[in-house]
Amino acid sequence: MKISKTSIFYRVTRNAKAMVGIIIVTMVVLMALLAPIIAPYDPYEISLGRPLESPNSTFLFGTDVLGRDVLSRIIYGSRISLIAALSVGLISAFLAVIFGLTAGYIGGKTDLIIMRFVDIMLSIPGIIIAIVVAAIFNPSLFTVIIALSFGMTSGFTRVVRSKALALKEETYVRAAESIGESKLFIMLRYILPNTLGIVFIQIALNMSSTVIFEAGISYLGLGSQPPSTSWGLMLSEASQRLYNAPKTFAIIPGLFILVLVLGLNFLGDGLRDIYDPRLR
Amino acid sequence: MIKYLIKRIAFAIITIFAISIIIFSVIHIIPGDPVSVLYGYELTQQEIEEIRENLGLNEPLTVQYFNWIKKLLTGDMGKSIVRRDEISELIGNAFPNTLLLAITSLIIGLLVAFPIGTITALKRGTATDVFLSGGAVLFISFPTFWLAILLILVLAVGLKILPAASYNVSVESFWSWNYWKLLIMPSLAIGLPVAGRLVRIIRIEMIDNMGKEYVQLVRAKGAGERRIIIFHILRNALVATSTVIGLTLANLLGGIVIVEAVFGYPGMGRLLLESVLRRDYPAIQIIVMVFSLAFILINLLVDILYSVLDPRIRLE
Amino acid sequence: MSEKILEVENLKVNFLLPDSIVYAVRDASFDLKRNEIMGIVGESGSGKSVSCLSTLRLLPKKIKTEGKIIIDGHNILEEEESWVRKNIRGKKISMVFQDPTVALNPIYSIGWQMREALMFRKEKIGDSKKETEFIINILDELKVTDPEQVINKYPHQLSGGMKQRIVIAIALLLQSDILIADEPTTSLDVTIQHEVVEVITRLKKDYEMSVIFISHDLNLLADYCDRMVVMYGGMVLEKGYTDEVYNNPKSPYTRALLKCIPPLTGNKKDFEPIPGEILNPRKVIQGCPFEPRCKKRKEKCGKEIPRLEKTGSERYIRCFYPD
Repeated sequence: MKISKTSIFYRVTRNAKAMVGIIIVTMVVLMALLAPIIAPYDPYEISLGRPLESPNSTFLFGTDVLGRDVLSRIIYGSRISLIAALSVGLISAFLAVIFGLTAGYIGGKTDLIIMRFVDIMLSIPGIIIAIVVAAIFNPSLFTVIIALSFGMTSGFTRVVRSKALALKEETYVRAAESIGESKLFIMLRYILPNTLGIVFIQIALNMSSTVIFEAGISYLGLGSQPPSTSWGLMLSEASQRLYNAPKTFAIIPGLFILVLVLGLNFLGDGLRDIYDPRLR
Repeated sequence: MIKYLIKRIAFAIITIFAISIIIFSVIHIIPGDPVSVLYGYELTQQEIEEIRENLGLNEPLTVQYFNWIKKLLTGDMGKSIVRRDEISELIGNAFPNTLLLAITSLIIGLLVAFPIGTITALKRGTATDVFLSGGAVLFISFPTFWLAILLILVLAVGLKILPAASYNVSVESFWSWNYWKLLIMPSLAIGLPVAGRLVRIIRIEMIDNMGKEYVQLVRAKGAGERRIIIFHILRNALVATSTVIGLTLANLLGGIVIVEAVFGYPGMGRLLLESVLRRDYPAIQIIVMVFSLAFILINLLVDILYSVLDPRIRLE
Repeated sequence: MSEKILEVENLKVNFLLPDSIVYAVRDASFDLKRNEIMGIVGESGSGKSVSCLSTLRLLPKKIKTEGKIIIDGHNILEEEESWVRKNIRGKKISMVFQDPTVALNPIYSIGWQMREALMFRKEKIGDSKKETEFIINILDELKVTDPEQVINKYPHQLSGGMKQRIVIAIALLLQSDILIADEPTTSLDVTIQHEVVEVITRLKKDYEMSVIFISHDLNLLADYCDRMVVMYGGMVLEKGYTDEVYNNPKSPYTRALLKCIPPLTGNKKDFEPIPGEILNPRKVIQGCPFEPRCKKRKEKCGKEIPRLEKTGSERYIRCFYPD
């Protein structure tokens, strides 16, 4: 079953939500990629200015507690969020597709084993997993990515599995089975391409959750560690000084998180609208 | 339905045990043991050995596990390594606070979401719908802790009408306004994003139901719009919404942990964080178990609720 | 028998979609007399359902209507929604819907849904016990076995035939003057179809209702209806007393319709399907709606819309060249 690439492209560009999402995400990606060029200062260099300056002409977003330029740190912070989002998104997608397709299409004992495991994993809230992982290993962006990938895979697997179950009953699949095609071939050639729609939607949504999660966990001190430029970490530094620091310090990193997450959510929603238009 | 319930309960119990095994193994796999990590610099090797013997840390892991489970089932949760308090006491103090926070947040979420969700469905496609739905997406995209910080900035630092930190929460002063003042901001910080999520589901479900033919039939009977909306559209939408409420609880728990940190609210979340930061493994084990237990219980309740609301499930 | 209780005059209904207009009803005129059974026959897209839904104002909001629907001296199309709700729906007119599987709300018991209907009757019963009695009575009439049990059941526990009887029961409970049955037998097995129609005709006598019976099954209607209306492409093409229309059809469409039902006995050579496709309701037409598929079409048919002309007592034809 070939999916016509041209028609998908066409439909995506016509959908306002998806386009807004793509624009926002692209801008953040550009910010991350061009960081060395557009950041006015070195994000790690301390005592560039006086600590906790309000935004002024030298430091557009002011300085933090160690005198570092907030703007440069924000710009580099996009890298942290994007790396986390992309890694978790792709890893969980990879695992979920493998497990989900196998469980859904092959079925039988394999299905039972996989789904029992998934159900148990789903019984532990993701954030608890992340916190426990942080408790055991030395917390860092890496541990966050591992923990979140774990957490997101279970739900994702369930989604892929349902789709595989539905596709299993399709006539063209039955036809292929009846002429003796191997199960692996059918999975790769017929089932996988038709799950890509929901897979991409879920990746976008998982990415948005990851950005929030990473920020949250770093905020708690259990994720990216100083002197990392994680937006969540910057917010934790700000929230300890709400009364003395300039208000912008607490608002700006959060604003960037909000915008990135909003962009990813719009993208996911837009894709969902395209895929299942009756829900508009 | 009874069969269904028994199956679910059995599964829940199995899951809890599985989680307990996982937690236990994971904690005990870490290199280095708690005693030397915490007391290593104070005690001699022999003293460390003695303490280890006392705590039963030299037994094989499986024996340690069974001892732990045995104690748990009799209510003995052990002592926190760091604070030297009974863990059960710590949890006993923290749990009701978190429960209260959770319930208040959920209530706020539901109270906000249902009317707004219904309006967006009824006025589908109009500017009101776009505005409100957009608002819902916005609130979902808010990081909970940032929302909390913003609320503090505006209401506590800026307008000074609410206290910034919630250290003084205690169940005794339940009926005083002071108590609720401490609860409002955390509940809003958690409840509003939850409301956002619910608005979208309610909207979809209601639109789905509005097109159903039985709605047409009731209208043909001569029923008024209000009756139709409440009894036939909303009530049917509730069925699917309740499953989502269950899913939302996962997010609720995550939000609780972070929000308690921001406000210093003395609940299970803060307890967990403190235990983690101090590597208090016995405590961590128990707290994670409690969280998972709560989570499983809530999902079980949601399943039961679902079968009550939908006779098709109930009468197999 | 002779008093008219419902009059539809030159009804026109357009559905206003975002990017097109659907001409659901282009020109429909018919009337219903007291205590008669009238059949409206037509294929999908003929406008028969929409015309009847209009009498209850059960149409979507984005529409444009023209013409008149008169009951008791009021033009229903011009009245307020609340007036229609209070006076017409469930009171003057009640409706039996086509697909019973989706016509009942799955989360309420049968008894609940039937009691709900009683709330909207012209004369309320009031007493809870009497209500239950009444409901069980009606179910008995419809030959529902074990009505006391059925009341406590839920829709998904009943068969299709049973559900349809419930839907009919609900309409009958309302004891309105007019009952509109929209393809009540279409989704049922053949053996049940006649049973259901028998019930409707019997109860019509008992409760003194007038019935409009919508179907695409001409033969079914011919067995039970006093008068018939034949619709196609949103217009009434022929109407009159049943035996006249059935045995002596004057519209080429009616004739063609009769011919394309394969006979069980008799001359099989008479069987002929109608060529072409059903008229697209989005298409704007200049002439007779049936013209593209009509065997006897002439040039005039495509250029001018024929008018509904009276050719006898209660007999009307819309055709330039009737048989």
